[in-house]
Amino acid sequence: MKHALLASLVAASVSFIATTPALAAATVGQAAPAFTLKDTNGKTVNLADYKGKTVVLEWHNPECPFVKKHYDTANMQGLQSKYGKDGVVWLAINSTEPGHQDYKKPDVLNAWLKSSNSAPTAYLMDEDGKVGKTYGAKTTPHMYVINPQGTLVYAGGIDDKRTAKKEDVATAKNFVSAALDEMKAGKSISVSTSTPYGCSVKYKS
Amino acid sequence: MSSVTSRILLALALLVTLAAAPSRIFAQPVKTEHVLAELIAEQTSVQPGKPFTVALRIQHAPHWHTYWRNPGDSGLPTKIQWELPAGYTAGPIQWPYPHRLPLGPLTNFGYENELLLLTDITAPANASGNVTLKAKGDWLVCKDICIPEGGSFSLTLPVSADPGPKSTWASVFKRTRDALPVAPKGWETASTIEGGVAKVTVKPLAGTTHQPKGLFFYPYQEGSIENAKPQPVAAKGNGYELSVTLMPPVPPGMKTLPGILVSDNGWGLGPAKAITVGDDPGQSTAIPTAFGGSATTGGGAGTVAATTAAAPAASVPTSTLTFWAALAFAFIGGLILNLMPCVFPVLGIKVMGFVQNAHEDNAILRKQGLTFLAGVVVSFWVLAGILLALKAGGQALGWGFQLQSPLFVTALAILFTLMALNLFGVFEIGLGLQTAAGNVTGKGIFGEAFLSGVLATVVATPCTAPFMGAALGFTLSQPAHVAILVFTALALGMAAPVTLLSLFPAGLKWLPKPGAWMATFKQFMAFPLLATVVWLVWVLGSQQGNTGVMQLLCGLVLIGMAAWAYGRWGMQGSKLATAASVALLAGGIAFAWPGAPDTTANIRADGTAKPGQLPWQPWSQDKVAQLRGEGKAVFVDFTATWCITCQVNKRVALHDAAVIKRFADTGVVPLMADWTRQDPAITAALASFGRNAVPLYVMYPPSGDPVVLPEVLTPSLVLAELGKVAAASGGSKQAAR
Repeated sequence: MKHALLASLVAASVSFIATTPALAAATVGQAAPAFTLKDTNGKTVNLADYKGKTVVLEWHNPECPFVKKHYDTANMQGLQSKYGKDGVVWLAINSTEPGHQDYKKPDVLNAWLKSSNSAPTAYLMDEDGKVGKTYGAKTTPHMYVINPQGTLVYAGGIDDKRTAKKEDVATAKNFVSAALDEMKAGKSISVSTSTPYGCSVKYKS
Repeated sequence: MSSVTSRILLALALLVTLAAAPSRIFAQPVKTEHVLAELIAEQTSVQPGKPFTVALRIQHAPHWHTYWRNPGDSGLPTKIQWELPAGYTAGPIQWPYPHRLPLGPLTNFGYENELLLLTDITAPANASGNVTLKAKGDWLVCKDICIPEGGSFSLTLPVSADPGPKSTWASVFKRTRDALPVAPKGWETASTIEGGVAKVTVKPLAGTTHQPKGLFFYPYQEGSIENAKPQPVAAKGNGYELSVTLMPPVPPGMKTLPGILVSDNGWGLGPAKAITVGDDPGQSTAIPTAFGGSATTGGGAGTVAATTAAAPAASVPTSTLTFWAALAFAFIGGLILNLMPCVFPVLGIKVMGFVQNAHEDNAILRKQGLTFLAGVVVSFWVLAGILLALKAGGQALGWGFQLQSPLFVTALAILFTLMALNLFGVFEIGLGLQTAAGNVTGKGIFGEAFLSGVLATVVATPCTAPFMGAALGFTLSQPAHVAILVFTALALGMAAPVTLLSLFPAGLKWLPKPGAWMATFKQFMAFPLLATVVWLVWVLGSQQGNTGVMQLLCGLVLIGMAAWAYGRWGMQGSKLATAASVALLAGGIAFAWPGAPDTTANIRADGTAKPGQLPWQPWSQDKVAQLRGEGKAVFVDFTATWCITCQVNKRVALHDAAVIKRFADTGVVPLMADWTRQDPAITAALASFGRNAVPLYVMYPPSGDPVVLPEVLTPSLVLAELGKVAAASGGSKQAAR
């Protein structure tokens, strides 16, 4: 039983990999792949709507301890509101498949956003995981920064402290804020990729 | 409970705890919800100036896994931070080769089942005495979801010139060594980068005939390859070439891809299945960066200051506990059980039986004693069997679990009431205690002796919790035959006094001759039994609420009436009265039968302060994390209504006026984890501290490791702990900048 299950899982993932260009198709220095998703209020959001603006993509799952690390310390909310004031568009994306125990319905996520004082520009539902796989999002959090010209300029982890420990937030070097600050100052981005860390994105197998 | 009673109980609990103190040397692996972790050594002693190998052993719950040094697409490598005595040095973690763990489109590298992370430690040349190795471990354990866990470990070994025998773990160490990557003797390995692909080649040297199968390459560097992509193998000359897809963007200047190459059937190099390709860059997971950036981070062994995040760390008593010591302590523990307040009435009856029989046939007395012994032993076996079976089935139960069942509590209350009425002389049963005195050859007396053994065990278990909890938690983590033997020793200890008295009736000579006083004594012994009934009713009240208590008491009245009717008329041969009393008994049982639990019964922990009490809030693991995240210290009381020590502690220490005031002053939040009813979350939390019983008191400073308080509290002890945590949280605020 266990082996049969495992075998079918492996088979499914192999066939998936064989049929999709998928993971890690989004490459820093190239155009960010276009997408259209519904947000938690049912509104359709198109990446192209934000052409001319800097866009941050944050892969999200409220149940993940690594996500909690950055929300329980108000680190993520702080970035959202700080750069929101500069006109940066912040899109949280949830690619958890509806069958997974971590899956939450849009209204539950809206309540979560409210209770956690989070303020992304929009919270997008990617239940079939297509956008996540197009971007090669592996973990929650997995962060992407797109410049006003639509080019992907940062992809990777949120910072350099690869732990789930809340106390590490204060001493970590935050790659996303560094990238956004450097863009604002007209400098080139010093760290444009890093290995993401966190829980696996709960994709449909 | 009057304060006099609580003082007596406190004294008793203290006595028992002190007497049982040696049982604390039981080794405690750290048991979290998903792994059992412990520090183990390959040898039984340390030699001065020589290296020796220790390991963090992680036994994963089925289907859960932890990670290799390169965890793959998500996850984190396990970390060990050593705290060694001066002169001792620790090497890096020696990782056995990992397995692929596919998860949808992602693939991780890690381990399931049993894992040993080996570390070589070198002793200084002047080492002597005993050495205590301490380590903190942190790991991320995942299945569909991930939980960061961790624990503190220590291991004490004697230092001696003579290596002595290998430890019992030696075979597991050997198995782990067989899984370590080895140098490719007889093979030539290499890696080159061609565009977005790394070509990993392996060629047999002259004389090598082995044909490897099922090749897979694991790079040391996290994020360097597309972990989920197949690695096509092509024949190249007389060797093989794997095409490993690199993760774009490929860093400019990347020339090689070091890692390990695993073959399902090994390499013809003994048991080794993994060989190295290129040089190990060292165990820091540098993050590859493009466009000239640089970002590296710690991730290897011993680089991260550890404090546990979501999972509480248990402090682990050190020991190289021998099996015989475990048995000896279990026996002593059993002896002490005879003094427990809930066992005493049962034994009182037993002793009274001896008084009656002391001057009768010694052979019968002996048989009776042995039957009692059998009753105790069999009951302990049954308990152990149930616990082991449920554990095997993945159920989480704790010691004293039977009192979590309202039905069991009700049945016990009915039984004790009937026994008390019997002692009062309201009714007698054919071969009951009284008639038995004149009819000692009847078979019934053996059944009675057996049953009193069973009864003594069943009521004794909740009393054992305070000092047996840790030991039993440990025992249940051992193989079944060890657990059964420890339980047997416990049973023998408990049955020893009564059995010895029956085997050597000379000891009974100090008892007065049978006479009229016996009727008085017998009637008096009914009162401790009734007191036990009161306690059981109270336990039921917390499970079933007021209505449940009313039903039970009404049932007991009917049952009392049944006993009376039977005693008054039934025993004189009135069939009608016997039938009526059976009907009354049935009615009483039906009345007392517990209904659906009253969920409002346990709202004591509702966050509001009642006069003379702490403002308890209900416990949850999230709540602890949340409060600590807000910078608050948290005190958790793992308790149950049926745990007398818990109630005594609450009354004497926790609800002391000065303690309540200090809680308010320091802002420490009191949380109550009520285990009166079965609760898997609480059972898991207890297990994470290596416990399987209440009470357990844990003080969580806002950051850092939780502190476990003793099982018996005093106001001054709690005040001192509150003072410490207040000082520590002041300090940690500064440290946090």
